[in-house]
Amino acid sequence: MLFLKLALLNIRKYKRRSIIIVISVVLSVSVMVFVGGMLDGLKNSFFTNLLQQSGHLQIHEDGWKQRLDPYSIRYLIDQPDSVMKSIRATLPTTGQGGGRIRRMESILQFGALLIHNGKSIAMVGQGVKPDTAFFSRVTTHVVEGSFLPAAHSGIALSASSARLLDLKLGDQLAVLVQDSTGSPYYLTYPVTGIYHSGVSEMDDSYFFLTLSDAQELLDLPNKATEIRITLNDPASASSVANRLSPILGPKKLSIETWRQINGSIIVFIDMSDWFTLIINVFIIIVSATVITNSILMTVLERIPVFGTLRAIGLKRSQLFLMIVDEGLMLGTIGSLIGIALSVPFVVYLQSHGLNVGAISTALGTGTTYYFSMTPRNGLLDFAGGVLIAVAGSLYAAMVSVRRTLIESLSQEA
Amino acid sequence: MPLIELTQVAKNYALGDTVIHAVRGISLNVEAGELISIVGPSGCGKTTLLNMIGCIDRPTSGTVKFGGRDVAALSDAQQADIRLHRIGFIFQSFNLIPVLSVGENIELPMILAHAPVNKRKETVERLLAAVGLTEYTRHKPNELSGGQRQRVAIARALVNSPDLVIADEPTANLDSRTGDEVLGVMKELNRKEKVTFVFSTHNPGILQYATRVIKLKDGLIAGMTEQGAN
Repeated sequence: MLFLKLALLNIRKYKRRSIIIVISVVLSVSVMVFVGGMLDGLKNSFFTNLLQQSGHLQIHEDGWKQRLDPYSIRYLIDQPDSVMKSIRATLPTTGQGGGRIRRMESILQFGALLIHNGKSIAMVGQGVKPDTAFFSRVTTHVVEGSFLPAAHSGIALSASSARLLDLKLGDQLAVLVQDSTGSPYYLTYPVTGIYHSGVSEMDDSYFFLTLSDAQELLDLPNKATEIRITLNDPASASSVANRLSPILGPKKLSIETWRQINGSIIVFIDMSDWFTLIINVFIIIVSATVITNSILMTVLERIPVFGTLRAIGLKRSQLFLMIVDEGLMLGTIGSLIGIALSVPFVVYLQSHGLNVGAISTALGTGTTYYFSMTPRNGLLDFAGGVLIAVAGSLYAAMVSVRRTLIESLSQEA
Repeated sequence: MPLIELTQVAKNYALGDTVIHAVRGISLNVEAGELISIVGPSGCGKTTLLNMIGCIDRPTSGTVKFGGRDVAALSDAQQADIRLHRIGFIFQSFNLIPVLSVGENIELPMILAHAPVNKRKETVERLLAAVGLTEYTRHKPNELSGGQRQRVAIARALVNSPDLVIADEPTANLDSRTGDEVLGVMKELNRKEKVTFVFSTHNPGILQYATRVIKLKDGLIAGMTEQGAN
């Protein structure tokens, strides 16, 4: 107990340096919490949007992956409802458990030219159910009208596309495609929904029709380019794919997991963990340097006191621990303050988000970053702050105990 | 068996290319209960000799035996144990811990020795009374006079009931009256508690307190006087 008191009294005696150390730890922890929260939030948001859009599993006709035209309608799933029925018969659809299906839909994706008032733009059409669970950034960000009507035909497109084509709600829009026979064909649809998703890919490239309208337009009745599946747990995607492969193989269909679909992007997401680690290590190194210097100064001033302590029986190991204890205390105080200051801010940004304008649209996360703060991350940042101060004090402790007793006693105070 | 047994102890220091022969081969026995004064001019090797007796420094050659054990052969931790349990130190500059109170300074070696709280409290009170500082328990060292600080150092040196107390010029930073008081306390403790004292001084006026006076010159014993109890 007296050693703790001794450490506290020394912290108080060398107030100025103690404050510098505590401030360094506070800043380090705050930056770690903020940067970690931002990168984690970005990763989560990116990951969620990515999986929300792609699903956890996608089924296509064999050869689809090798197609040259990304919007080719050559590779098709025949009778997608029948395929989905057989999948449901294989996999449980209700209850808990990672391998259970949460959502399963067929989608018909195609390339088209949208024409209005003599203006035209090439876009990617998505034929989906009016109540689709995918593309939620679109369905939840409709700014005019409603997404797609269930009872009649309609088209939903982004506000920027509508501006380019001089369109407003209710206008008729011509959609020109190359149908299943290879012939050009067009139909007109009333604009029923205008959205602003904040995701560049969806705002600049996509428009939406009901699946039945798309099938009619392309002359592809009972056909889809893919079936998307969302599971209760994305981690179970591989095992589910393995279970489904035997029933899909005979139909000349292949299944891919979200990792296979988004391979390069997933690598980027995984790399963000390394990026966070590198930033944290950099913060730790910079802070530990400042802290080491400050602790070393206070320790060097006390060498004669340490000599006295050793002369009256304190062992080198006890002296080492005593100095590290001081670092531990300063680190704990600094980390607590750092956590107390930064966590509420990050939690606020977790619920309210940080509007960064157009910077993030290219990343598919919308214009607002939602930070992420978990107890685990908070604890890790706290431990990081303590570690910084302890690491800083280790060198000072080594310098002190390396001196002989006679050197310590004979040093001028 | 003598408490301390020095055999041909020498200590050399390197100062650049020069070797300083601080102690050149001293043989000496210290019996329990003695109050030995080591005298001599500055640089004659008094402090070096005391440091080797007190396990603070290791000899370059020769042996230092404490209670029959060759202390030079012991590890750092074992030497620390001897300093903690069997030796008390009184330094010329008092060497009190500035952030601790008088009571805590005295108690510190007992805490290192894991003594029980009650025993610590009782011992600290007894020693404070013995050195006449009962009312200063909660004071910090910088609130005391030089003489009072040295009394605290004496109490701290005695707190673990050591076999030997080493005092390196304990009165050097004190005026003569206070120096006499401090030496009087040491003498009283030697007489009553049979604590062995070895202290160095270059002040011939305080030699009356010693039972034996050892004169050092150029790192060697130049003379020894048995004075008996005063």
